[in-house]
Amino acid sequence: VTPPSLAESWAVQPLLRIVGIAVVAALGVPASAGAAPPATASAPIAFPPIAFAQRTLPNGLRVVLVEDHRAPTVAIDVCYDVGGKDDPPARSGFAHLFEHLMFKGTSNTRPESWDRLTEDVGGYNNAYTAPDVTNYYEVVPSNHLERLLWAEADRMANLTVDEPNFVTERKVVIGEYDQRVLASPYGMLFELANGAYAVHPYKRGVIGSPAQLNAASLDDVRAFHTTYYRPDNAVVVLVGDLDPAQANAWVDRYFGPLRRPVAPIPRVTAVEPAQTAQRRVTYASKNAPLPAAFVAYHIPAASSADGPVLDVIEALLGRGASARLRTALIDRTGVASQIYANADVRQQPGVFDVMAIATAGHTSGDLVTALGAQIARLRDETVPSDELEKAKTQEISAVVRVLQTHDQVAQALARAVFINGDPNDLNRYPNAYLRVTPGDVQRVARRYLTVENSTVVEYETASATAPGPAK
Amino acid sequence: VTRGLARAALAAAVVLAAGGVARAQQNIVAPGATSTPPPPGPARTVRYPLPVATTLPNGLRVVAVRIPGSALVAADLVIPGGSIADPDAAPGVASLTVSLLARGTAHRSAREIAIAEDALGATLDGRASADRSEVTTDAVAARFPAALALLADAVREPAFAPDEIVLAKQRATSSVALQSSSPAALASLVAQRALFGNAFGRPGSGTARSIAAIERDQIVAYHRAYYRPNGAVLAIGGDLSAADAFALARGAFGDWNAPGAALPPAPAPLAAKPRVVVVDQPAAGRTAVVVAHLAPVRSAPNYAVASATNAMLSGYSGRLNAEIRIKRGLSYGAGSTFTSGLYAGTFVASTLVEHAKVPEALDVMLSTIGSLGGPEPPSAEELSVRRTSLLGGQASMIESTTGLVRVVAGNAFNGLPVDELDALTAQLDAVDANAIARFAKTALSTPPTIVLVGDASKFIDAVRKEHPGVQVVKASDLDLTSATLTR
Repeated sequence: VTPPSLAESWAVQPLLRIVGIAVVAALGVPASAGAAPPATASAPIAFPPIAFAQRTLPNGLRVVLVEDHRAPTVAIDVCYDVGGKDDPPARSGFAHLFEHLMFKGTSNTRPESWDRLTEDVGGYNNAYTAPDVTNYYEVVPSNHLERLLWAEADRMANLTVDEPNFVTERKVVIGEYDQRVLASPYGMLFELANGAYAVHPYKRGVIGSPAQLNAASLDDVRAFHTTYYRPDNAVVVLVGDLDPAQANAWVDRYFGPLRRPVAPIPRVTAVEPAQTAQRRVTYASKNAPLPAAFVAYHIPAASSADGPVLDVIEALLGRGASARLRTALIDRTGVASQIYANADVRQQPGVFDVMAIATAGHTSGDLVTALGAQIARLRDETVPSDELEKAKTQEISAVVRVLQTHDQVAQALARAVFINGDPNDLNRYPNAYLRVTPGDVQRVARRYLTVENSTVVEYETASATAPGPAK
Repeated sequence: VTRGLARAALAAAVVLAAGGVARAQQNIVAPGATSTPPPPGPARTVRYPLPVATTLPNGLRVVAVRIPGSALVAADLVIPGGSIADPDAAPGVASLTVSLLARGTAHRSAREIAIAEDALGATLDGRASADRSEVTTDAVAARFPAALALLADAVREPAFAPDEIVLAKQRATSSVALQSSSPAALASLVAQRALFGNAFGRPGSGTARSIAAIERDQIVAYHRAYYRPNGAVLAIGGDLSAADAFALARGAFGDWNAPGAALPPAPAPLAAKPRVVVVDQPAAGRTAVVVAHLAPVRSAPNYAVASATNAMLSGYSGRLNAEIRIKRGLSYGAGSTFTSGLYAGTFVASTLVEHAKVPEALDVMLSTIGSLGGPEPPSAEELSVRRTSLLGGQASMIESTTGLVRVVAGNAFNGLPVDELDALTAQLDAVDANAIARFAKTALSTPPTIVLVGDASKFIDAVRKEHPGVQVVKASDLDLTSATLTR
């Protein structure tokens, strides 16, 4: 009954990888634990390729299918190539508001239909808006697949939103801004990190601005649906207990008749200029109990060959109990209570983030120094080969772990189609992890993780002295 | 790889609230042709993997479950005891003990364990609940034997180094403080406390005060008494044969000696007199409303009917959400949670409402819960929807190896047969509306325990009129280690 807090959601999110496997080969298990290999040095683990089929309907709708009968459920994702970066001018946050309105009913369904179609049969439904995409997804017992395809096609074609509905939902979205950005102690930290962008619309973030949302009208809603919610701007991903021939026939029946509009789809063409000097932002939070720091570095788009190397660097810095930031900032010096690293690879050039929250008695400046020292090590020293192997194993294992479910496989494929531009990146990324060398790590760190390419957010508490631990 | 991450997560979590307030009734303008959804196909028969069990000479019960096609192998070791076995003066010992297992052993420092875990790409986690502790690991198949060996070292020979205890206590204290700041989390802890007059009511994580008082000797003594093969259950699941799983279990735990002393007997739950408690938390954004009852234990013959009864009240179309959210717009959601262990079970119905709406929300919750065994027994159609929801949710657990292994381990520890997943499905299929009405009449018609956590000034007068015996406690005066709720 309680919506998850921001803290919960971003603690979980780093595990959501786009890469994955649908059908995995059985790996041999030694018959005796006495023969267990030593805990460290081992040969790299292999990554079995994903098996998926893709096609495009005449109206431009892309379809990706994975047949997997291990569980009697099916995941349905309908992902649109539109996100926060595509918000209309002076309407920051609109793509996210629009996502909420997609649950408000159509000419054929009542507003609560999505819960009736999913939760009532033992499934669930949800959606999210990212900087690049908006993804709607459901998981249901597989005998309900056709009903969900009908419902998704229906809201692609027939969304009906009236004024009272619109006004109510806008209030909900603005209420969430208050809760997640203002009331959450570190909510503003992530928003400020968008200051890494001077020109590109990524600078606005996804949650946007309450003032601009309040200026939005029902006409904006209609225009946005017409502009972006169309078959040639969407992918349907189906994963699970399905018969591909039958599933394809249903997709054709319900999505095939949707018309491809003549008007072209507007695309973001702004190019962020190369950064030549470090940017620094300081912010005094009213409700953060302890100072924090965030450093963001510009990196290339998801389609780049350096993307997988950045993932491995993310693992070296931030994944697991032995990660470099944890070891240096938490275990050895105790300047931080939480650390975080994220290769935020996007459709257009993204950012590599490192973040830390201080312990009592330490300043955001201490954190910036400590984070900077760990980034400098990547540039100045060659990563030991056993540590690099550890990071690769962690990345691949994390992918396998997260993608146990049909839901996660479908979400990963949907993101790969629009963010990477190719579902085959599901295979390219993990296989590329295996080939990353110490030289790659150093080369990529020297190229992107530089002082002049960074934006530093120093997040201060309102009072000069940080409080001690809670009693 | 490609993620919107914090930003995407932000929006993702946000979306749970999509349609939050007024998804109920409004005018739909119907342009052009309408259509209706196609009917569902015939229901699929769900086949749960059938576990195989054995018992090692030292008494460790081992359950293997084969999950074809799974790249991961997962293990779940369930240890007897739990927070009901905490020393009376030291709630939080079981929880602190499990949190220290991977923080150094006789053979490895905390740092060495961290490196080993990461080098295997494995997870190593633990948690304590009322009647058990659980330690879990998973890894890709080729790395699993070493991961299980690491788990065994952590479980069998933890060092409990004094400096690690200091750090663990700090982490536990922060986590307790965070919980207390949430009205919903706090209300659930207070309800647990108010339902039971003894150890079953205590918070498993302890309180800031009780954690501070815990001594190393108490942790060592707890570990010696409860971390033992006889009485414990180890489940292993993945794409491996039972013979291979048993061999792995023997390799990791075969030489774990059972202690001479018997397992200390567990206390019996002591039901407290139902009461109405208001925890005044003026800073709370909304008030958490909780209505709690005692429920059957997991091995009880009426577990399935209890589970179906809970399903009638829970979920999107369940009665609580229908009455509170859909019909009246009092809250974003309402539901009921049925928790059932070896010795005790609870039904906890909850919602979050604006402070001033508390009296109305409480009335609706009480009458809705009472309706099943009274004026409005379930209809066959209503039961069919809720049962489909319950069974569908159960079937989806097959998707995840780690999730399935946890359920298999829990069932074995609760003394249930290896085919419990199929058996429970059949029992749920057989539950009829009359059985639910009969069950609700006894189980949900006793006076409930009511807990309200929020800004009491906005609702206390109205609540007092209906419930003159209400106990009001300031959040700052609350002591969850005491059955009276105050020091």
